[in-house]
Amino acid sequence: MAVNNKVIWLRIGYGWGIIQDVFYCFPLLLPEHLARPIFGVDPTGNIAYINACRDHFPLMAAWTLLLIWADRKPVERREVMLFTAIIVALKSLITVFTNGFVWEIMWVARLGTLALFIFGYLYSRGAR
Amino acid sequence: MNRKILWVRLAYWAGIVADAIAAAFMLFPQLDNRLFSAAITSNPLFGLGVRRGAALMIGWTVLLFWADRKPVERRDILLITLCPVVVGYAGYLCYAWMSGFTALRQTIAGLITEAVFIAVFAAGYLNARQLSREHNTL
Repeated sequence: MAVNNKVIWLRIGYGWGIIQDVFYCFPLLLPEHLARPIFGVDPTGNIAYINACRDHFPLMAAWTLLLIWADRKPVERREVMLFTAIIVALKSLITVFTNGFVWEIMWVARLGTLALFIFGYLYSRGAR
Repeated sequence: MNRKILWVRLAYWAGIVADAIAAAFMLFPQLDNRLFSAAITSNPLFGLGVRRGAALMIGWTVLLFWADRKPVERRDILLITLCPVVVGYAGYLCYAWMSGFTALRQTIAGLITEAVFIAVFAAGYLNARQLSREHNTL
């Protein structure tokens, strides 16, 4: 039962990661329309920002596929959850260093996601 | 057998080195004065967009390193790197040229580099698959 719980937490983490990545793929592909409501950035006329978003899109799509791949063998590939947590933490740090800290509701989602991934990784230790 | 695993590991390491270099340029876009003008790199929104992408690039570098520890078992990582990462980036290069963001010369140089990576990752993945099949039939 305990082992099953470990796998369930891993799969919840992968599933949540997949949903978030798919959600973030759209503003990266269509920043002109979706960057303002989702990232809080107005890209009107800023071709450099639009290009930076589209450049970023293939990696986000790939990470979505990676999480789906990891979910097929959740325990064997549990390190993927740790790498995803590192990325969430790095993105948050980069945003703070570049823009300064601005409180927004997205921080709750970021910190919740980070906690879920770290918990999923640590809790699944020893699972088979 | 040895030659096949060499191709597989070459693909992982080509990806690790390329991604690490790309991550450094994404974190510090002002260093890439060959591709971007000072007007672009001083654009604060461009800096934010590119640096957010750097986190993913660093993650992908670590992921390739992890996959290289069990190169045959984790060969699917090479396939995911091939498409959508490399193929997607080639598509982005074409878009950047068409939108007037990059020059034709830069785009062609980028596409040639991506073509080499496509060949290296495809060779790595196919060799890993063959090794896996050989191992299963033993």
